[in-house]
Amino acid sequence: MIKETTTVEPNKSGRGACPRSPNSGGKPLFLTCSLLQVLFLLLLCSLVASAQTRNARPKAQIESPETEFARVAKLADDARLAEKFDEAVSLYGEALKIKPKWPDGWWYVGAIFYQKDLYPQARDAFQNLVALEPERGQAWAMLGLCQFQTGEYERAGVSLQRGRSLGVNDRSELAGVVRYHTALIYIRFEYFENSYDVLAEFVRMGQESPKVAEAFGLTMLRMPYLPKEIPPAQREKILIAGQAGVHMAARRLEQARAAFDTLLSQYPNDPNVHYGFGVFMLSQDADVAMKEFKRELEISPDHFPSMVQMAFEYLKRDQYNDALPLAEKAVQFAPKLYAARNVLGRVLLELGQIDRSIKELEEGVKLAPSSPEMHFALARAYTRAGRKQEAARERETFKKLQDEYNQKRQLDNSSKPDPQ
Amino acid sequence: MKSVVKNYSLLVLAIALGWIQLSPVQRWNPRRVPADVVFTGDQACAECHKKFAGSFGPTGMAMAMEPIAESKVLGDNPKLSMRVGAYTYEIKRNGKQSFYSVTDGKDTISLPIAYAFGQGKMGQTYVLQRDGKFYESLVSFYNETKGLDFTIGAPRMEPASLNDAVGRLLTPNEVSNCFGCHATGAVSGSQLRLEKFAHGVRCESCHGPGGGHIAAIKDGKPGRTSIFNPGRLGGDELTQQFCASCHRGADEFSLLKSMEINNVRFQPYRIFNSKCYSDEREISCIACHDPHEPLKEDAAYYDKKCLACHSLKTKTAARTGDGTSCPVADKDCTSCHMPKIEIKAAHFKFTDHYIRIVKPGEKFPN
Repeated sequence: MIKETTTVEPNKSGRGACPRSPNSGGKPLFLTCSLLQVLFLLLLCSLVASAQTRNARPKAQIESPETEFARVAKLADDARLAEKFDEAVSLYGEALKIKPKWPDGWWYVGAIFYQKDLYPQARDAFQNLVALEPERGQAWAMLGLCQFQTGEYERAGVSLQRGRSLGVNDRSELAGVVRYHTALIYIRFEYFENSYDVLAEFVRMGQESPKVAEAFGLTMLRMPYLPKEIPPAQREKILIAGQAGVHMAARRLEQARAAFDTLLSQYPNDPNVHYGFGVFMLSQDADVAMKEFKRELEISPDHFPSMVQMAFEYLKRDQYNDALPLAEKAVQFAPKLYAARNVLGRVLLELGQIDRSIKELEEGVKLAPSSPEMHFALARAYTRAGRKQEAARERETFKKLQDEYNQKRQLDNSSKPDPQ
Repeated sequence: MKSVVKNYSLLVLAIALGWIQLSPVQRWNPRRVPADVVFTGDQACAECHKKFAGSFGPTGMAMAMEPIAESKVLGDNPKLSMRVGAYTYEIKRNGKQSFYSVTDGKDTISLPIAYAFGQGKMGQTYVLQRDGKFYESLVSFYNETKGLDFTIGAPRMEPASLNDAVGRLLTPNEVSNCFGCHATGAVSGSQLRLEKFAHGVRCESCHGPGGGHIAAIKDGKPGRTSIFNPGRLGGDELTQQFCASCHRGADEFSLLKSMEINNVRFQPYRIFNSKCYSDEREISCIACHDPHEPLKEDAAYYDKKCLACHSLKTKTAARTGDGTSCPVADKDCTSCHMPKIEIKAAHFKFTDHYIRIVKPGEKFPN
């Protein structure tokens, strides 16, 4: 199922890959290549024909490695363009023996292996490519997709994130595939807030689809499954939660509310149902949200996300003594959760326990060095402690991260289809 | 023994200067009014604090919300209209009431304006009630044009239906936030109490309920121990928590990050980014602004605030000694270092409180 969403065709434009997006309804992208690409292909074919004349020279002639490489590489490209992929891989292999530091060769080998579902081989090719070009975002992204397919999920997460941060071109189909699999990795490792944010990018870009909704469902219900692992008995619930999540991310409040109502009426005692509804209501009616979080804690007493949400709300309400035990318990249950450290640190700051506050917030910054919120909170704690230089450093980091966020946001906005 | 005496003297001095409160008054947050709080009203405060009561009346905060019957904006502009695609908006005065109506040519929705938010210096937005729900008007009054335009944040496009054309349905949280900042006593606990409230920010919005304070004075007890004084807060707490509870600080990051240039309106958030920001009161809101008086608009007024830390070219650093001197000018500091930023949709130029060396042609540093 996942494979279907990640099929890669070698990109005839020379670089990049043509993946199938989770939004393209399974339609291979090479069928939707633009007229421009077709014309380019025809042009390449004519070049191939003329080159064949040049290649037909006496075999007895001894060639320099450079010339031999150029000749084999050309044959490999021709085979690839003629969709003779087995032959192309063999020829690219020959060329790479002559010139192992040939990035495009590794790219095409990786892309062809990926297309043929030979993921370990594709992974090795992309691994060679990223060693040669560590700043090439698309190469990291493809490596991550291969690692996903070989079940190396932790490595896949690292590679996909690196690919996204280096840039995959947010307008491309590959970006969609990478975004989807990044969300799946987050879900698998139970970083549901992160998966929500990544999935929300699809909604912002107007790219909603059943697969995206399914991933939203897993996120809302905090179920660390890959789509292929979803138990059939849970599918209906995930579907409803997914609809709620998609509408929530799109700020279609009435539709989201309707989906949550259905979810609550059908699964009133299932874990995370009340939590999901609580998160949805938090920005609209915090009292209702708090009741939902309390209900969730009745169902699942160790539900640290509810503790964190409640602690934040109490912090907002200046009820620091109500917030403190929840924040402390959340840190106890989830010491690696930076949001728990954030809320505990901020509550302690308000209670005048500045040293302890700084300790928690510094831990939070270690856990989430790219979180502007963490640096902001730590900057304020340092400010209160009179540690001016450290406060200034944290403020600078906060501003830098905000700038990065804004740049990414502008890129996302520019990727949105024009409203017609 | 000598050090004990010295410490005691410092304590007495600190108390005398008001740095330390003799007994802790419950910390007050203007946006978090406990459910059981009873306000006495401005008149009770004015009996003793005549000066403040007199100067506070014309401030922007005091006029953050206008009673419809006495609305200067609606009275001075008795007929306002605007067309958006197929829809025509009209705000019309009729005696002490104003009506907000929108029509698509066939059907019309007309509602009495229930609440007018804003003093009108920049503009005024209306809150309407329909079927027991609150709506933010899709169009607002703007002083620059003396006319209507889309409310800030509203999609600047033709609404999908006549119902949508009225405005945006407000969530309970949003209603509480609007009234919590623009009125006094309208939100109690988390409940809306619109049967009795005071328009705008009143004394007790910032100082908390005054009943105990008045009783203490009458009993001959010291008054300052029984009323909250935000002026005694540390600089960071005052700016980022107290004032920011309405003017918005950087901890509303998730909201502010989506605002782009519109976040220039949120001064606590902007000033937090400044290089000179600290916990010192010299850089807090009240270092430059007296909340009891109308906003000073003259750049020269603020020079002495800057020069409290930054020296003139010809002189040594005045106070803290760590403020650099400006190589370009020795007056009107804010005109360069706190530029006015125009938000076209608001028809207004806002002073950017992100104090910085502005580079020519730089993009708005969000």
